[in-house]
Amino acid sequence: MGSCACFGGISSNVRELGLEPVHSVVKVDLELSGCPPPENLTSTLLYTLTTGREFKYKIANLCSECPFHPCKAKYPIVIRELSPKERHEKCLLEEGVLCLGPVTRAGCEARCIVWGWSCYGCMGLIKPTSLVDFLALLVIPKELKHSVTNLLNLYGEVEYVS
Amino acid sequence: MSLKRVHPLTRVEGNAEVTVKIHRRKLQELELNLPTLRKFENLLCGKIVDVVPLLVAKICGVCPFSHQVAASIALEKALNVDAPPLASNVRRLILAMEHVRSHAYNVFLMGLQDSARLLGLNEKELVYRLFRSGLNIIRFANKVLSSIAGGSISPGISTVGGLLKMPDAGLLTNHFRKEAQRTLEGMYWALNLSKNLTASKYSEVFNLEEVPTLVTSVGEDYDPIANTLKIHEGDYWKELADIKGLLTGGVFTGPLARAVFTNLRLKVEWQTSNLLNLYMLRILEIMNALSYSVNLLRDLKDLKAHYRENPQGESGSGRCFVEAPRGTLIYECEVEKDVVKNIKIITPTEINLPFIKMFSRKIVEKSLAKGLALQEAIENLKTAIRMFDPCVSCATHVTVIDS
Repeated sequence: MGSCACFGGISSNVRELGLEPVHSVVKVDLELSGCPPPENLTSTLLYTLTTGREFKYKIANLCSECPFHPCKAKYPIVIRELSPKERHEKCLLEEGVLCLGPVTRAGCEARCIVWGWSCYGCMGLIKPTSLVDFLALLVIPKELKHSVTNLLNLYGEVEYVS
Repeated sequence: MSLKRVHPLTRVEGNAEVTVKIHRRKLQELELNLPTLRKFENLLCGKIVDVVPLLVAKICGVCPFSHQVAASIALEKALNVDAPPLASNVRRLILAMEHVRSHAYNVFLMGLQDSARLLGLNEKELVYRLFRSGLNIIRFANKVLSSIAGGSISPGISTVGGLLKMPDAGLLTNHFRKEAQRTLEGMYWALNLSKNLTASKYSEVFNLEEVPTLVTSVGEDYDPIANTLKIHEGDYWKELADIKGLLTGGVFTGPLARAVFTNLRLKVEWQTSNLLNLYMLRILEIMNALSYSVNLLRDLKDLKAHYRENPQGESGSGRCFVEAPRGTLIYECEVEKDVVKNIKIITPTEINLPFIKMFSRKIVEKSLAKGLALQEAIENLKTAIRMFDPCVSCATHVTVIDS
């Protein structure tokens, strides 16, 4: 359970520890990502396991749970900020703030966005290639490139090389 | 030679192991092994300052907000910005509830087996009542944290310059006051019960022969009601230029250190130098934090809703000391062009470790000298370690301790 166990998470930023996701060492039947895993998903998981039912992940991106959905951002999006500097009442991407909501798996009820943070993808990618596809739709100024790369690698599911 | 391996010792996250070697009822060797080294500081270096408060909240699942507030203030010092008073008060409220929750975990859940043994509580009903009280307090604290900090563990709302969002304190006030009052009333009997701990037959074993060096972030403008919650940036600490020195022994932080300080300030005489007092002190701190929060919430309604300032600079260094539930939490950081260049996080348990090691030895020696059975001596050792609640998963350094 947790992003570190599922795909490296923030611990994967510390290279010298040489950490690996659990599934690369043992066979894993079920994974629950999130940093920390959302309460609602954890309780649903426990309930389904104890009642012998099947636990299913919602196949949708985080935008489907975002309070500012639907997003009216027009692609390509020019990124101006890496995190919200003030309280927003509309989609962060519309405002040019980096948000990984479109490529991140749903399940956390967009709690970070609700409380004023941006989404940095702790739930994991909706599909392995989605981050690269998403990047093709962004215009990132040269001076922000290094920091954006740093943030895209924050949870370490896919290593993005600028 | 008798070799005893004590494992696992309950920690909030993970397990610890103590190896004790005894020869003819004399302690030969004691080894305290606390695995995990997460190198969180390395992870933070190179990150933009705005995401640091979000990331440090992931260091610990019990005290995430202490880390977040400490990091926010240290970065504010580095970037030359002060959070508005409203933001500071919301931060204090969040820390107060974190104290309540963390102490409830320790006293009513993790340490319950120990207090039941020491008090000779054979009535299952009473132990169950204590357990239920703990769960109720934790549930209450989690509910409040969900309303004011975005969740019981994360994401938190403290950031560089203040808050990301102003929680709706007005909605919370009425409900909070009633529940806080009920929780407070429920605490008195547990407090009275905990006072009997020092009358336990093992009391002498848990007595500290010397009061260790006092470490607390409490400043001169000390407020006894808010004693667990004071955020102080460092005048008191200026003498302690070498933080490394803190980790080499003889230093003690946490509720007992705070109580010694209260004692010095308020000239109240009572036996502070007994570890068994930690249960009572934690219950007292829960009660203090609840009363303090009720008052704080009342004030929050009257303030204008300005909750964030923009940083003036983009480079500099800053330091912050926050009283976390287990003791003083220290953050020291260096920022260059809005990116963290260096960061040092000293957690309370890390400061206490050499002391825990020293005290563990003494407790086994004393128990054996008193003629207690080996098993009893080991139980006392486990109790002592659990009393400190060494959740070392948050520790970011390795402290090498010579036995």
